[in-house]
Amino acid sequence: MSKRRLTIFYASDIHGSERVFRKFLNAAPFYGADAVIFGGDITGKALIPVVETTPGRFRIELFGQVHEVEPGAALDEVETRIRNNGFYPYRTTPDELAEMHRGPDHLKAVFSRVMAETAERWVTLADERFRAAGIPALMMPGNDDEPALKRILSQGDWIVDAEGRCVELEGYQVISFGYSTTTPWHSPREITEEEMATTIEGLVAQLDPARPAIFNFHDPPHGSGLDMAPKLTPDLRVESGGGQLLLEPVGSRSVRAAIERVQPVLSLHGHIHESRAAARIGRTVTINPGSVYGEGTLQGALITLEGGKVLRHQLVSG
Amino acid sequence: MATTAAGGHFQRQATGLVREAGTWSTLIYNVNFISIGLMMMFVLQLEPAFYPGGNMLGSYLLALLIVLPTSLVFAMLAAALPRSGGDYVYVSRILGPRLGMMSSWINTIWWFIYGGVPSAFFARFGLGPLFRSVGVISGNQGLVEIGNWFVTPLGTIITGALLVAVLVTVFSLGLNVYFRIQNVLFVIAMVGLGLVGLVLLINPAQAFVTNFNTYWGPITGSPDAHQAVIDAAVAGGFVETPTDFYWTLIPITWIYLELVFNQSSAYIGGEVKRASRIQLWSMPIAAVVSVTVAMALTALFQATIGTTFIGALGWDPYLADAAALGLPYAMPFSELAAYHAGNIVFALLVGIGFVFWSYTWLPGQILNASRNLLAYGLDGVLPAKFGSVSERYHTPIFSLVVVGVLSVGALAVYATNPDFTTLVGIIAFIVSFMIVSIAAIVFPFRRRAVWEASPIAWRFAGIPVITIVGVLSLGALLVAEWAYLNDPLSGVNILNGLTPILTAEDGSLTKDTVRFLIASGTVVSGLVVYEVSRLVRARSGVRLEATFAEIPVE
Repeated sequence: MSKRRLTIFYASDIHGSERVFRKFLNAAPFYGADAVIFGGDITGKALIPVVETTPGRFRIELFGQVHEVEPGAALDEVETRIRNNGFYPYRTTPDELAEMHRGPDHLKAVFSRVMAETAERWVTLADERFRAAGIPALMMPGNDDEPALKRILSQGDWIVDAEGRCVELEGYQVISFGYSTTTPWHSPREITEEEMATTIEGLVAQLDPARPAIFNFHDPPHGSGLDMAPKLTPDLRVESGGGQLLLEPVGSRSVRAAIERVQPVLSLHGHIHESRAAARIGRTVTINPGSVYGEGTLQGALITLEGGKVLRHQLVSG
Repeated sequence: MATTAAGGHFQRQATGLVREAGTWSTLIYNVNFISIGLMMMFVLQLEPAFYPGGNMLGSYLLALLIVLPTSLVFAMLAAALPRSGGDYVYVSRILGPRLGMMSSWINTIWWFIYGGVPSAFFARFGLGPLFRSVGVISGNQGLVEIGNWFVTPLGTIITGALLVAVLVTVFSLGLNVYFRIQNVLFVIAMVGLGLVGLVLLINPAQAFVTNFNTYWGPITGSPDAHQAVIDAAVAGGFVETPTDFYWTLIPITWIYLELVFNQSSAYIGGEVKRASRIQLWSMPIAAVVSVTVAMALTALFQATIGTTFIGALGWDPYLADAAALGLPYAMPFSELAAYHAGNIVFALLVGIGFVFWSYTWLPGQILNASRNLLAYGLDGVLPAKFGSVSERYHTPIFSLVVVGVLSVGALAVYATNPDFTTLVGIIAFIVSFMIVSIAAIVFPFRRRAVWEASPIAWRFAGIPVITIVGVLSLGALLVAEWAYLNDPLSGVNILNGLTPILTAEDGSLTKDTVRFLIASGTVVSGLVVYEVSRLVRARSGVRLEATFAEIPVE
């Protein structure tokens, strides 16, 4: 068991925001953390066409406003804004845009390519930054990341794709899993509660019970306060009453059962952006720092461990 | 991977909300927090009586004009930063954590203190007049005595404390059921107002005089009780004067007290897609709708019952032994409407409707204050206990109980000590709104990327619209603050125009000055809480300032 003090910076759910990802890269030196853990959902959800309508002239529709810009600083600025908000800018032509509207296969291929290119660039950047600072970095995909992301993360030569195995971190055993239980949106990486329980069981089997463990599961434990999300109707309408959103716990029961049974030192979660919270389940400190990636802010958690226990934790908004 | 085209972009299949929250629900929430009923009650009870020359309809319009810029500030910030937390989020993000805490703490502390006000109104203006009016109309003295008990200090404290306890318990057990019930209660309250309007339209003016004399003649011993009320007030100093702009402007204080809280949904923004559209229109529209309803009903009261009698009725409780009716508080308009109708069923319906209006601030105050405590707990500004949520009920029970206990304490003081004036805290709230307005002014410059990505990235003559609205709001807030400091009934009347009146003739500080200083103390208390917390947390190795510090992007 590690006696030395270890401070971890944890964040998740940055959903393609370049600004927030770059903050994540700087978070460890900024907060004085010794290691970083990323809890999934790296890739963005939307692609913005940057259409070259005439040679040297681009048309972009962003946040309801149409921008007509020339290559150079103006175009770079708009594309940066797109990336900072978690979208992918995609330079294209009117003909290809029409093809993207017509053919879902072509659009899918474009989306996959753009996401992969961005992820590869980020992995390279993360390798450079974390290696230079000597900061261990455990990362994994979340439920909203396409399966291809796992391959890209595994190509990192400093960052570690921690999903699906037990990774040593300064005397602590970290097991990670980025899938979620089923959601109304049928996101790319979802499984049933039964599958979740089986997978977690397999991961827990890799742990040495005599040594402290950390869970890094994207899906939060059910009914923990880390998993309160707006209640939805079958047609995905938010339910409200008296002007207020009606909330309900939507986390995983299998995750909760595993925490209750194994009692890891720390259990890190994401997935439910609006449920920023920290709570104890038995002896385990569970944390979901939430996410406001759309604002360009990185929400995270600083956790200091010592002697196999959580010495202190702090939710931060950077 | 499934993908869809929307607007100028393509979306892939991923988690996220796709439909907006109930728009009517959000509007209802904001109108609820305004409380049309209380706003009208204060205006009718006080303006004709104590603001000679005041024009009630003019005061409504002036108050609306003064409130709208601030309403737009909150609406635009809520659209740009659609998150729960209101000013705590906006100011922390734009101006930094210290000012964020200062602004938010002002609200929190006054929601505690004001917890005593609507809980007192519940008995004083809700249940008391309901039982009294039904008892008077039906000739049931037992009901009249019950009504009279409610308005005693003991009755007010017991009833108000029970209401606080019930709300805290219901909120602790889960919010969803309450939120659903709230819509029903709102409909009942609005139906009550509709019935008031109906009876004022249908029944001739003379019916009120006749019915009032029938019901109150035996109680007062005067066959023409209606005239007796006017005579007693005139003898006691009640006068009517021609309309005067100054005395129309000053009593906006009583309207502003309710109307400015049209922005309450800013505190429950949450992560709702397209929340911007709801927030943008629901706040100012809530203010406009509330003022329109109040103005229409007030005009009907003026036309039917008459400003003279309404003014005299407002004087009566302050005439001591010379009073015609001998009531401790003036009748709310619902009671007047009940007498005008002369019907027990109608009295019940209108009275029950007004019971809802009488306390309608309270649920929002308790919830908002407890949510703020929860946020302070999560951010480490207050002990972690405040940030805890019940595993069983998923609610912040500890914070709710703290708010409840403090609200009952405030109720006990408010019900027994006349030095706790109703308007005293609003001057502190206004400082909070000023800080938010300053945040709005600088928002496009300090958080340019967020502003540009927001649905309110509009410019007028090259200047960000939110900056212009923020400047207008700041000016309007200064006017409102000036009105409170000049209002002889505000309890913080320390100005005569722009001249300070801080001391009495004997050189001692006036009670108004003392109250002003207390309210001023609450303004800076958030900074004190933050700094103390920062020092305490530093001793255990936590840098509180890191909670809110922005990580550089490189």
